[in-house]
Amino acid sequence: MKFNKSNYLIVGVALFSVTFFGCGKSLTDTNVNPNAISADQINPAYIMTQALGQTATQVSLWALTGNVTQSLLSELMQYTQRDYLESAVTNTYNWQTKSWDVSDFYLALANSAYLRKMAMNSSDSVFLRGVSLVLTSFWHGYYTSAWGDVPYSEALKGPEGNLHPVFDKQQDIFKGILQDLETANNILANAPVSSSTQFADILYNGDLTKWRAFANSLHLRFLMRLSEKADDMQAIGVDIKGEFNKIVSDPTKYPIITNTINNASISFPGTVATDSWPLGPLSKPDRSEFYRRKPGSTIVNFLRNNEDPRLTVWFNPVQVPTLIADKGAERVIVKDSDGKVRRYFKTYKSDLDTALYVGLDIAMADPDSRNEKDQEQISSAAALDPSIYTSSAANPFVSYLADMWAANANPLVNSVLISASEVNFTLAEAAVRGWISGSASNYYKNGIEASLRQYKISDGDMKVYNKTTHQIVPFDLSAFLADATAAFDNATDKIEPIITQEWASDFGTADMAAWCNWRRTGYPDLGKNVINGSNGDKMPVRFAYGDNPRNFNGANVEIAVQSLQPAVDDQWSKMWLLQGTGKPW
Amino acid sequence: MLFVLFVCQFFWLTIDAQTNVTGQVLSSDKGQPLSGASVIVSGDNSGTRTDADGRFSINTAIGKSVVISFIGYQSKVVLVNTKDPLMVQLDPQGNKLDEVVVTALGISRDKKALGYSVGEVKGDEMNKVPQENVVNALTGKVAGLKISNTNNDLSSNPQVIIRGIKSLSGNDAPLIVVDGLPTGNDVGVLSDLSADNIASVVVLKGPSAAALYGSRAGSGVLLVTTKNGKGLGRGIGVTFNSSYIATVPYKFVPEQQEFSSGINGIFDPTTQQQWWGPPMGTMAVQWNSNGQAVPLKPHPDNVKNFVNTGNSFINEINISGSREGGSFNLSMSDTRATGVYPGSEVRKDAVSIAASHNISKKFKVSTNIHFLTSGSDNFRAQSDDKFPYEDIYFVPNYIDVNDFKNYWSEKGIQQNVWDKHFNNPWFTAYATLDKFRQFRAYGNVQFDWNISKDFSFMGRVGSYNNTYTPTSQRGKSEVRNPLGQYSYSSNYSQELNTDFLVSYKKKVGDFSVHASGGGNLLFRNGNGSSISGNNLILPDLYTSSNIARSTVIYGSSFSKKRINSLYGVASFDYKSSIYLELTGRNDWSSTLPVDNRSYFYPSVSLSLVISDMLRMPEFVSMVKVRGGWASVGKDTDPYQLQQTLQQSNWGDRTTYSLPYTMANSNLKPESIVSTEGGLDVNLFKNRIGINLTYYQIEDRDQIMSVSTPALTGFTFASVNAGIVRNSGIEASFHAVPIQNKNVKWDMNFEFTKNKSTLIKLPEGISVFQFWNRTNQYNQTSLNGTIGDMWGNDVVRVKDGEYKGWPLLDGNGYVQRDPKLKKNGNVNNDFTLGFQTSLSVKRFTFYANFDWRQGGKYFSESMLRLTRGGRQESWHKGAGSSTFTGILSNKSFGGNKDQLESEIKGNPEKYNGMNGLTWVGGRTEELGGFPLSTSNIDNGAFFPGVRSDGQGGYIENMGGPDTKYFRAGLIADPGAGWWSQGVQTWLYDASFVKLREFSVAYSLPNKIAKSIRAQNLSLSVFMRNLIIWTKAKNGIDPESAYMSSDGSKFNLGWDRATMNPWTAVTGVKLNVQF
Repeated sequence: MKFNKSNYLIVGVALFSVTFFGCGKSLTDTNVNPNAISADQINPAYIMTQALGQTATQVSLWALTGNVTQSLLSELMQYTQRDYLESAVTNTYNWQTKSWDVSDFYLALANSAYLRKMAMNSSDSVFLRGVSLVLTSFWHGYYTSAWGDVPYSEALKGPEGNLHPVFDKQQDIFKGILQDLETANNILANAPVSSSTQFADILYNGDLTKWRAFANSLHLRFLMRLSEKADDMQAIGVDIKGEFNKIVSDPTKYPIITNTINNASISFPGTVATDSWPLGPLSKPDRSEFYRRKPGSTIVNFLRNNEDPRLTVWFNPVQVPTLIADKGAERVIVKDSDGKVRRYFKTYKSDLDTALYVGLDIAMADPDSRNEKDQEQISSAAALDPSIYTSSAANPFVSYLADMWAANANPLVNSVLISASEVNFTLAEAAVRGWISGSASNYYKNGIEASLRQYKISDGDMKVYNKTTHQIVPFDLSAFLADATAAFDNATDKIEPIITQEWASDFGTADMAAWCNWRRTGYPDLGKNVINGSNGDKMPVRFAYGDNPRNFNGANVEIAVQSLQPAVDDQWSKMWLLQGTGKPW
Repeated sequence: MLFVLFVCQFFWLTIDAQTNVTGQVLSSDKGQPLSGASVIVSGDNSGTRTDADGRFSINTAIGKSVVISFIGYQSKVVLVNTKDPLMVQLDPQGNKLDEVVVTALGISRDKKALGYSVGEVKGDEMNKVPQENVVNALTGKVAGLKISNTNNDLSSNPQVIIRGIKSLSGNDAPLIVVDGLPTGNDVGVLSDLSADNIASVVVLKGPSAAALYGSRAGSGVLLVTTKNGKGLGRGIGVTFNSSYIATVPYKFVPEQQEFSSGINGIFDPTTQQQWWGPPMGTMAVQWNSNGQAVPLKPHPDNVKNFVNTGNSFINEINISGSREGGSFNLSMSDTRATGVYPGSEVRKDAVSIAASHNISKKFKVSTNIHFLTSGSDNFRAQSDDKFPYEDIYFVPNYIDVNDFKNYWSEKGIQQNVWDKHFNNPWFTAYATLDKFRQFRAYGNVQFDWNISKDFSFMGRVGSYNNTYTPTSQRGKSEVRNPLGQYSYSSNYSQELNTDFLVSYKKKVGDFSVHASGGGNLLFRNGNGSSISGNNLILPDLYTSSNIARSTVIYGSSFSKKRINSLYGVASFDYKSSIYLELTGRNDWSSTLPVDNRSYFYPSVSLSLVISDMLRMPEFVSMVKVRGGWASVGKDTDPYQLQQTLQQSNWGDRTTYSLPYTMANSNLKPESIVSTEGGLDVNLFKNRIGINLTYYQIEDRDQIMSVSTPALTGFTFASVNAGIVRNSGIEASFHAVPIQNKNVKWDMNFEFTKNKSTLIKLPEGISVFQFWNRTNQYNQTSLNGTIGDMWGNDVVRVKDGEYKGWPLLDGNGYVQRDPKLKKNGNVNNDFTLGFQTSLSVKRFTFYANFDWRQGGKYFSESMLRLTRGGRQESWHKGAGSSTFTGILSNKSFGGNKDQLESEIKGNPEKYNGMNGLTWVGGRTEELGGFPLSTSNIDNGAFFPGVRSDGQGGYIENMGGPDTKYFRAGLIADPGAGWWSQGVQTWLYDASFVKLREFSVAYSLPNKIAKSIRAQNLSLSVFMRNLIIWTKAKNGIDPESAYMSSDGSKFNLGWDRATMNPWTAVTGVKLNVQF
């Protein structure tokens, strides 16, 4: 082959032209993302599923299952206590600030609100808008109850260009929430729901009545939360008592959740980490996470003393029971003839708990050695019975949470946004306060029964721990209710037994509701159990604003702090809701 | 192979028998013979090269001239007028301004014509000390160029920053251009090239120099030229290099050996990270004592027993040839290395081909092609949650790590370990593996046409291709992945560049002009897929089908981007003493909205050679002042404009969620604007050279993801905002103090001082955060300096008698002050590189020092070791001991009153302004106070005051009201102190390193000749020896940064970079045929 100069030139220019001018594809086409479809092409029902799933997960994380900085309320309500390295901040209430961006907390609210925006493109727009109003009310109420003033009227408007939302006054937020819940109840009365949206609704499968009952039950929750500030609310046009009465007296227009099967309860599929109970192995492969949160002695002793069957459902017995008996040496660990390993002390000591169910005391200086635990005893017990847990956070002389809380999914372990039990207790309190007619005592009993039903406890179940005989005995429902009623009847302040029982039934899911009740009423008196608190026997009444709003919306945070009493952003300052109430301290 | 044969066909040797002329070529400075110099008869095809004694013999005719040239020397033309031997002396090229450098678009320019500063490192300066990663050979050699390494082992991942941090989104990597082919902003491209194949690296430091490279050159350009056989003279040359490098670990972060695992003085094997247990010698039941209590014994050499000496073998061969019609270069290299970390290894193979062929006097075609493969079956990357040395440092001190070399207790199922919550480090080393395969193929074909004397045309097509396949496997029973884990991903990226350039030059009288115009089409595309899961069905089988379905995560993605560009450059000179250069470029990028996608940016620079205009004293060889202004536009990543949602599922339902980042459909291009001015002075016949540059660079309208308050619905927003201004001084000083027949000594200093200031942020945002960890915040507020470290101090009394004292809570614990305080900056105050070489006869000594002064870093290693009581001292002066506080119960003979008055009287000493300060001891012997809740007397307290609830204060200074707690809490995470008083964990980052040291010996010619070689030299060398660190805590400050994804870096954060210090020594043999 013989090429001359011009051949080269022609080939060269031709090749070059093809490559240089041949790629004339439009620059706009090049920038179309092939990896995702744009937001406006998505069925908004799928966003509803996400909002509900995230709500379920976050409620659980902030109640019982989160890490040491998330689930503070569980230690605060003395449901649990931590040991093994992480106790001093949480148990003693030496809290740090809390930020909305940590672990996607804000996304549950953000997606709930986004649903409203996207619903417009859907044939189910009315339904989805109603769902959005209920969920955003749930979350806005959560936020303002925990922090005080928070962004509300300007919240979630980033795409409209608002990157620095103002913090609204707490009373205005509550007013807005109550209006939204009223609207939700109204529009959900008649809203078409397609079958695909029913399938996407993992809470109520598109059942309008249940959604309205959820909305109205939340409505009652927030009205009661404002019980001590009724006058202030009246001043801005909200009649707390009247609104409460209006809802309760018209069950047709305002259905509410009074039966456990209508609980706003989301179950976890447990197929992958993101749709599993956050204490399950898919989410937390390191099982010491499960063992690091132990039942608190306050809840354990309450259930134990009342021979409450929920004790044996929620908690495991100690792996190695402690007994007082002379077995030769001062302390002996043996395998008895029944195959159980037990620990015997010759002489009784005041810090020993010889029950089968033992909780961690509150704010101990050294929770790791609760009930005279040390590593040598664990080793010798494990040598006798290899099934005894020996790794990080092991303490076979203290109860662990029941196994059901350790699974990826369990029928009894759900994320409960509001329960029949809470609604009944709220009605009981309203009756005591004279907001509604009806028997407070009956509502109170219904509240207890609803909680038992939530955990599938029936009369006759072998689920009651007898603290004297250390035996598990059958549950006698009527005797149990009779005892509870007696406690109600004997109480000087009827609100105390109601809130105390409500506190117990809130275990595991509704820590926030329990906290708000405690702040409002001072019940139950938890402060007296605090051994080594960082502020004496005082316990926190709010969360401090976290780094995310401080760093990126600092000016508005500073204004919000001025609403606190004193104007200091920590867990001890009182928000508007508590100002002038003299509660909880 | 076919290609190689094809190339070689061009280079047959022709013999033309005429008169035989012999001669010798010597260097004028040392008088040494120059072997391998090219001798070419001008106007003829014939030529040869000198032998080991510098002698040559050539057939030519009397009356012809020969051109004699040699790399590093000025060529000479000699007329052949007799048959006598020609004795030719060549003058070395000094640091002269008539040197030519390659600048943007491959345009060669006289150095003295440049109005901006460029740095250049020649191949032979990079090749003196072999490097597994050639980037490291640039360290300290160019002012303004900063190279940092995560570690000194095989997995080092150098970070390259030119003239400081400009980008708030972490995109500060320079553009890498290899032989005219832009490859993107991944410095990794250079890591696999053979050092011996590199002819030069030019550093285009700022936009002035780089403006013509467009969008991606805003952070500067590394312009790499590989060898192409040109300038070699006629004939074939073969070079062979063989190196062996031993990396010997010699210094480890010390851990205390007096107290073993446990808390509160009680032995507890499950608290492996906590070494607050009883003293060694205490009787305890241990993992291997069969239930019997036996004394606890220390094992101080666990880390030493764990690591290896690393071995690297680098072999390189280079074959090149040249003749009038063209030239070629073939390069092959092979690197095999095992690391200090047990089991770690890497291998690299590089094959490069360069060839050019002159079709005629007017047409030339040329090509450069590189095939680079690298891979490892055990690669210890250090990023995110991967810290190779963490597990070995966790091994409790009462355990002998050698007892656990057999790391399976049940093969494939359960690792052999003393506590199931921790990993056996041998298991980590051999059953927790990260692997990768990488194949890069890139090159271009270029066509040059000299249309006329004044006009020329260049057309070029280049392609860069990269396939990267990382996999990771975790054996069952690994702590984070108890069921095992496998992940596989495959990533392909390609960049096609098609460009042309038309050039025109003309000289009229004292004026001359050189103008070029051209265009470029860039098309970048990539795709990737990945599959992973953390539950293996069968043990020890790492395939995607062996992952249990419930845990499988998979994904795929594609991306595309185009930039079309037109550009031009015109330079004018007057009498070769005044130079003016103008450039302009317009880009059209697919990543920006239609209305904003076209953007133009110009530059101008001026160079005045004062010494040619004014009369200067004799000793002044050259004086030049220069200045330049430039702007560079910058686009963004694809698909930033449209909001998309994230898909997931809830059981069998599909879900969509808002992503974290808010899209922005109105993005504009960024612009980087720079001005620089400088002075170059050469004195004493260029024996002394001084270069000074001052620059200021502003990166404006940065497209960045800013943090937003979460209740906007997003935690990040993509916006155009932010200005970062970098200003700095670069100074180079070069001197040749001695230069005679036998000795040549030269030295080179490169000084850099840079400051990056945050001038603007989006409206309403006052802080930009780069990273945060345990309440250490690397963030900058408006008008603050990039690299500032902020953190939470403890709460202090604001005024009154106790002003400044920590305000303790009711338990005597310090409390976290929610307000952040500025505690320092992670950037060095200045850096100074110093290279010197001394040639004495056949010996050449060479050293390269790197001094980086100032700056701070957060040592999470120190924090973790301290909170676990695993080290005695955390190296922050008096009282920074986990054994005894700054004072103790034994101070003043146990006199408490004296203790109290000492504390009270010296607030500045005991109020812990510079970090947590405690009083007490671990045991009674070490000065612990009696404590009621503890079995041992290990009481401690923080000096300070407590509130009395009535606005007054209770002293907590050793008096009767003092609240004590167990000493183990002084840094315990349960107490949370690690998130308050965070200044405790900031350390000075100053260090001096001997980057490179070598002694080369050129063997006598007769030895070389005996193996028919022209030159034979042997060198021994040393690398990266840490000579001094200010902090003295055993951590290499250079490695105090975290790579989060391999390309973005969290500067100033030592997460667990406890790599041992190493002495890297080696030998190298160089043979030239």
